Amino acid sequence: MNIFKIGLIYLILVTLTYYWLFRHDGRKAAKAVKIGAKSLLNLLPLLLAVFALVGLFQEFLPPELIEKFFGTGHKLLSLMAGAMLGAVSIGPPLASYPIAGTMLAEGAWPPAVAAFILAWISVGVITLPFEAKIFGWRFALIRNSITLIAAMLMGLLLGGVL
Amino acid sequence: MSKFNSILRWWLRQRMLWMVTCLYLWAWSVSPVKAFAALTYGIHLFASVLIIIVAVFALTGLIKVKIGRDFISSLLGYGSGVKGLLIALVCGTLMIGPAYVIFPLLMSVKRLGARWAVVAIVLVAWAIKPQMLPIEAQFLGFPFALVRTGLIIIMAIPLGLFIEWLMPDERGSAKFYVKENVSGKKLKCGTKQEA
Repeated sequence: MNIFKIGLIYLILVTLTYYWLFRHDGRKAAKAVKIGAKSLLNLLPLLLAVFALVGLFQEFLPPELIEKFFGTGHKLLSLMAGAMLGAVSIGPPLASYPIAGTMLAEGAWPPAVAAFILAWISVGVITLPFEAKIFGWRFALIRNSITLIAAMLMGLLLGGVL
Repeated sequence: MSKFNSILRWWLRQRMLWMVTCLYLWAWSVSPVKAFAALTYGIHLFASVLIIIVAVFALTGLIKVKIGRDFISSLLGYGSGVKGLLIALVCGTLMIGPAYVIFPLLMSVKRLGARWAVVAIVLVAWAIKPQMLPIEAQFLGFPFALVRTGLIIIMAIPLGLFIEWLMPDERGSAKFYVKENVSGKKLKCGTKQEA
């Protein structure tokens, strides 16, 4: 299911809830629309900036290019490189699997590949300013740092289990 | 005039947008073709998640208006115990789409009394993708996909609690409240909603 269809399902569900709320309490529903619209407008410039930045990263520093750099023989270094590559990449998890598959096929260390996928989904260097704006810098930095370290540790555990 | 000033001030506050604009000017000077391709990629990506973003913000409004602070506090607050943490784990697992679109929604739930661990667990559990498991297995093999998913299920709650432990303790702050009954038994607690 692509992201557009997922969004459409979300939107239909939310619209139905609004329809129900409008019928029961029009004033509350109008207030909810106002709150949602205001939050969205406040964050829209930041969202636009983040997406534009994603485009720059994709074009000037594509994952395929970084992938070449981390085909190193040093295991610990490749583990860190895998996690860092995942952290600076952005996109649906679906996009990380083929890249990770290529890495494994080319003989990359499995823990490094696992760290790459985990960091891809859970750590967001590019979205960090957005996360900090919402939750505050302290939470954003702690969460991303801890998750990055955890991605490497879980990668190592995975390597031990398999 | 004052409205114009406030709009101007609002634009000047958008530091991230200015920074990215400067980066694009640099990119344009290096390679106009690549800069244009980057902008097109960004716009396409934004367009693809726009619907989900609108839906999430609409849901944020609904939650703020419809769901009470007491309800969130008792379900996801500090007094909710293991139940709240497990709910966060299930929510993070089942929710789909990019994690960053859910940030505003999570913060509104947090302001309504949810604990930091709940926010952190949802974001960690985001990497559990049961619906994607067959695709992941196709590229990386079933053992890899299953062990990776299992590890996150095991680690999500300890990680969330550790992240919360590193945050300031809200239970001692003025924002935090605890409701007790006459015998002193804790009924519910959470953070007071910011005005």
